[in-house]
Amino acid sequence: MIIDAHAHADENEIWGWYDPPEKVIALMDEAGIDKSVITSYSDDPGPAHGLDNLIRYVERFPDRFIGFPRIDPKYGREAVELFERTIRENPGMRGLKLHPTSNLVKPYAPLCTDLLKKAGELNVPVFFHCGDKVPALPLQIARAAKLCPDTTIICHMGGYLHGEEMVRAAERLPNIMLDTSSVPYPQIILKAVEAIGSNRIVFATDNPAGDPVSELEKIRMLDLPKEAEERILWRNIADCIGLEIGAEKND
Amino acid sequence: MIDANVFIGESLYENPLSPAELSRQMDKLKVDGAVVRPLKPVDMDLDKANQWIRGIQKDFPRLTAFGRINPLVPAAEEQTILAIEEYNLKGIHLHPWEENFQINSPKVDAVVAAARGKVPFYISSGFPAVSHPLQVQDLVSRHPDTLFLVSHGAQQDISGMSFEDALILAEEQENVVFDVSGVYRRDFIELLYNKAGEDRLVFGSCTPYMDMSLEINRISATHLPESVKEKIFSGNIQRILPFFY
Repeated sequence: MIIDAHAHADENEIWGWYDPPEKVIALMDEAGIDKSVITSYSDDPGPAHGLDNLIRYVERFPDRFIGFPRIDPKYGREAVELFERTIRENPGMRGLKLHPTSNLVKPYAPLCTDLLKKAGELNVPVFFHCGDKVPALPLQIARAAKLCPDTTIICHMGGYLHGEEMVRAAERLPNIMLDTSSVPYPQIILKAVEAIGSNRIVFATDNPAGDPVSELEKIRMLDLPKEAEERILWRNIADCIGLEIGAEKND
Repeated sequence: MIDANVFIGESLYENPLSPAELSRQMDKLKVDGAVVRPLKPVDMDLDKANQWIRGIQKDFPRLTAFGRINPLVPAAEEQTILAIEEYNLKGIHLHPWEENFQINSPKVDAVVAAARGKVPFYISSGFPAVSHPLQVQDLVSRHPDTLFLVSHGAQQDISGMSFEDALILAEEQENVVFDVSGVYRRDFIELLYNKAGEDRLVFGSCTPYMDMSLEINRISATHLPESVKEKIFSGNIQRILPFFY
């Protein structure tokens, strides 16, 4: 069993980005990935209908996709209500995606922490785009995590320039989990395992932008103990989003 | 297979790599040759590091050495000429992030001019404020007779916000060749291929900052034609640095 904790599927006419679910699944198959957490390219509320697409894709491929709606905190109460309604009405929606570089709301701003606290109430994790620049810096996300201790936050390992800083933040804050995508350094994953243990790290690819084959190789090449690798490749994210995996798949 | 971007020696940043250890890695991964330049030495004396790297080529003939210059030091132009003419190094590496200068500074123009187009320049690129793609373009556009190789596809941005600037660099500056070390975004590699063409991409791993094995895998895993991958892995750098074989 392999679960990718972060991928995209969307057909966004405004930006001209077309990554339909069939394309994403073909790339998952090429790498041997069983399931993926997917999100859209656009934020909702908004003009691009990313959430409608996401719900449709997850309903069409319930065995392959789990959805994390991507919500824009700028819309305040409307955003919180949309998020809550989406989670409650769609069993395939198991988390929240926030992209501060897209929505331009600082992670620790009240508009954002309102959403984070709602995710905590709903018992679903929040996946943050994290790395390289304002307003998606590790310490900005760490500040949000500190303000919302009952919310599980999953984020990239700091991108190109903030890897060690992100690992140190996760060391201090037990509600932060780290994903393995969007970082070109395999060694930072080892450092993360040493610092916070393998129970708080999840495999992710950023498919189809990131390449699932080499992202998976990035984990395999670390030669982690079997149990740790298994936790990273699927068990942690399955536990985090309450996914029941059949016993036959656990081997 | 030839790795165009490897750093060796002692390191201020505690990631040293000896030529012997590099050779072992290359054997394991079936890498035939590598272009090496000094890591930033503990004493920060790049001229001394250039002299050291000149010496290792005799014992390690698979390694081709570039010098490394800090354009901020008063003797930068003199050291550039020494590296090329006295030490017989085959190119010059500039690392604006570690040496803390902007790549489009007039001090860099002086260093490039001192080389008089005799050797290529390799730039550690995509670092914020010092080697953003359009800063690189600002420099290379002033030196059309010099060949520049740039690391990381000229950008390091997980949000993709610098892709277009890097593609402008690819489209408008024919004197630039790109390595794709650390470019985990396969879509960007394919966009870069579309703009720069198959002759202007090379395999450079940025070892030991990045991982040679993963960087090989990154290129192998793209959906580019095999003939193009072959050019990226060896053909293009052999054309650029014909003394390899």
